[in-house]
Amino acid sequence: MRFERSVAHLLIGLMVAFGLVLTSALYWGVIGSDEALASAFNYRQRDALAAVQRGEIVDRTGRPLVDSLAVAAGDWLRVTRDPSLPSITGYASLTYGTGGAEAAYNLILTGADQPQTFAHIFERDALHLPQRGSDIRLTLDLSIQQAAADALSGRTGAVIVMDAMTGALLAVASSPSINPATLDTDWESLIKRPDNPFFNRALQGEYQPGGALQPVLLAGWLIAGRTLDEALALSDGLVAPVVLDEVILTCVQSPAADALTPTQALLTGCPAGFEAMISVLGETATRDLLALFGATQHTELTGFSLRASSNASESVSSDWINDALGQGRLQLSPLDMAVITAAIANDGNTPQPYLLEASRTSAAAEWVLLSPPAQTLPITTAQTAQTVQSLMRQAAESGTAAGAAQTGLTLGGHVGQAVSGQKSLTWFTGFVQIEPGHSLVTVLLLEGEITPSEAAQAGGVILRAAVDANTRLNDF
Amino acid sequence: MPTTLSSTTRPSRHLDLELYPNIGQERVLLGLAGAFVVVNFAALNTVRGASILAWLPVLAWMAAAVVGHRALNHWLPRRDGLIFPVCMFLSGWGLAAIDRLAPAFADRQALWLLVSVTGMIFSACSPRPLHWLRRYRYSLLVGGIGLLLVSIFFGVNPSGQQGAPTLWLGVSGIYFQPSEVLKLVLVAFLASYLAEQYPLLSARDVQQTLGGWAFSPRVFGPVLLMWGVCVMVLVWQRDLGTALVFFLAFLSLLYLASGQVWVLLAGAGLMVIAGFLAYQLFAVVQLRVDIWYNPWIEGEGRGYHIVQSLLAFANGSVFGQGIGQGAPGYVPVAHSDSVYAALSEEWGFLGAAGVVCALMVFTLRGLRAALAHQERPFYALLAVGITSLIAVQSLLIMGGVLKLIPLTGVTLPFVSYGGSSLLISFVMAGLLLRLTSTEDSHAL
Repeated sequence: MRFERSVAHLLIGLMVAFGLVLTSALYWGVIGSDEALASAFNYRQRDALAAVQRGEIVDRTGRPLVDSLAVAAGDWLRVTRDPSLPSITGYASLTYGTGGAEAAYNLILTGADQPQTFAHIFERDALHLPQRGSDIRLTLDLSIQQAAADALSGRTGAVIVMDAMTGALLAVASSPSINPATLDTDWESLIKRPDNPFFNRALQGEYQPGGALQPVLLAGWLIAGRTLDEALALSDGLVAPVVLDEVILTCVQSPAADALTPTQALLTGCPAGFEAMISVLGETATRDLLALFGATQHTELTGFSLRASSNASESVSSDWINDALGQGRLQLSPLDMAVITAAIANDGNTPQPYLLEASRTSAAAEWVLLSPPAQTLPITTAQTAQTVQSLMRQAAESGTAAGAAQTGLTLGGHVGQAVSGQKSLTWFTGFVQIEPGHSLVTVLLLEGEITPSEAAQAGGVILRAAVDANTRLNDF
Repeated sequence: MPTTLSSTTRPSRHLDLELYPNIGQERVLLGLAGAFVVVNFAALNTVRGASILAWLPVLAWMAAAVVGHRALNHWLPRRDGLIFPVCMFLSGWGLAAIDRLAPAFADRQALWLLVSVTGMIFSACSPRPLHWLRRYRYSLLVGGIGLLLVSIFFGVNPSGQQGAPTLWLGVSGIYFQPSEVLKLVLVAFLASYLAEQYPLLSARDVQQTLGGWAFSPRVFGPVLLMWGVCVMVLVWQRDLGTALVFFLAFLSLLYLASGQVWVLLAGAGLMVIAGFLAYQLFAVVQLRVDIWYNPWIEGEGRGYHIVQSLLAFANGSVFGQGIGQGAPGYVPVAHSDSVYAALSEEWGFLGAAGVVCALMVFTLRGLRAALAHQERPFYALLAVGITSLIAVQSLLIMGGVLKLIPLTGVTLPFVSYGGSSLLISFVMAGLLLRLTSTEDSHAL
């Protein structure tokens, strides 16, 4: 009896121990598996990602921007087709994750967005068949993107080219940028660079708009029922600089006339004239004007995480004059500025920018439109917008943006300068009409000592490339 | 008149034919195990597009199963019909896992399986091994310890890796681990010794005198011996796993022989003291305990092994990735010590549970064999020793890769790669089969 009892005790002890093993296997294999799999040491996740053939990214004409090349069975190499692209297409690294459009549309590109049907799950999890993500078609145009990147070559800045009617982003460039092909080897040095090549200045940058807000102020002047040829009451003379805190704002060009009118203020980019105009408009009207044009609200782009807060007005200072002159705490990204410029170019209707146009599950499948253009938002009358357009065309011929002129093109432009900390900023905002009621806009931001004519010239070249690309698209 | 382990007069149960499944059931179970092995090899060879030669391990397994079954039928027709199928099931699963994890070792393991089943047939079907183990226990023990000493001074590691434990003796490319032989020899020695001492150990007056118990050389002797062997293994070979297996199996036997709970408590106390000292004295023990406590903070360094083992379980989920479809290669020594983790990645929790269930069945049948020999202390204690050895070793490595206890480097019996381990496991299974035989006069 004693022996039987001892054997029973031993048996119970061993069975309990086996039970603990089973329970532990159940915990790590089923109950707590998600937490374990999320570990940074889960190299299997990396293998699974490596085995997925990420979908191709093409531009609006179907030209490949980024695609996956097979280097071995189940091993893919992600190739970015043009050096102008990484600032917007980003990177897809097994070690460092994804960035840019690769991150924004990761679910589509890896096929994770596809319906989880039984057949799909069976093929993936049971048969382990090779997985392929969907292709995506962006609104970008490679030719325009190349022109935008060329304009930034060797400089620090950003470019946005947008279809003012639809909001389609035709080019998004930021400089400096990265080379995805050497990302894994260059990572450590890239993340230490003070100029932060991972930072997308076009979408995420926040800059003082400075004189780039002048067309908006002019529109506000018109909305208030004022005229363009009335002489402005200047406190310190025509070309006297405006001193805001420690920043001194001067005219981009010297006015030729004896008296400064709103027209001349815009053509010459004289801040003194706009200071006089907003004094007339008053604080409430000026703040309403900035809000109306969307300057106090950061623009959103589906899929991209642009900023922590979408509200730019959170940082607006109490000194509304500084804000209106673009030297307060109000900061805008080139994308924000492109939307404002598009509102003017699109006869007072603000478009909603978008980048992702369509997707397809395989090369043989039909493209499915994903993001139909959103409705434009009317903010002012067509007459007001067209008046500002007209003045910007004059500026591109003989004003601040004179260098933008392109043979055979009637384009409008404006150059504004700003100071951000120790850095000088030069903005070019411009548009060109490609057919009645349909314009393309560009915003170029350059950091450093850039002359207005250099900025205008670069902006003009970008607009030329945009028109040419559009012509080719229509011919095609 | 043999001494009985039962304190009361009970009818012998070892002749009860209903105690064990019949031989027909064994054939069916072997068929099911064979189907499992074939399906897994078919899936594996489909995944990797292997040639016809890739089926050689399956043929070896089938040959071992058929020959083993027929030999047992011939010489041991009235035996436990579960033990052999369980062993073949686990070894077939191990063969598939090894072929998947380390294809270069699959043929060698298949060869060892044939040798091992031959060894099992010999130990099961001949009365001599049991007789030798009892009669020549001192010689075998001295020989076993001698082999261990030789391996301490002349041991090698088949991998040739610098700093790796040198637990093997090698001749012409064939390596053998003396500690595996020592397991069987020690269990047989202790079973034999304790069986002889059983009348005294179980005497009521001795049991009631704690001092007499504790300082009796009859008890103190083997305790000291086991302690010495374990310390030797631990100190010189840095083989914590084997030392633990020895000691826990020994404790089981001593507890069975004495029926005293304080034996277990004292043993546990000794283990704690030894563990504390080992932690203080040996870097390898300290390392294993530290990374057991929190492996995630050094997931790419010292905790790599245990972290990747746990991730293998997580990746396996319920149904597993399928053979050849997971990434168990991230788990170090996946084909050997960590085969349970690798197996769980590709067969999932169901696979992990399957292995545990098979080992539970083995344990249950082994202890049942012990119960059937209450009137024969040596056989009863040998059955308990063998069963404890297999069970404890399995628990140590399964618990280790699951972070239940610090990881120790022992194989998973019948499943892991390793010829010595497989051979000794099958020989012990053969002895157990012999002990389950209901043909008292002929078999024993």
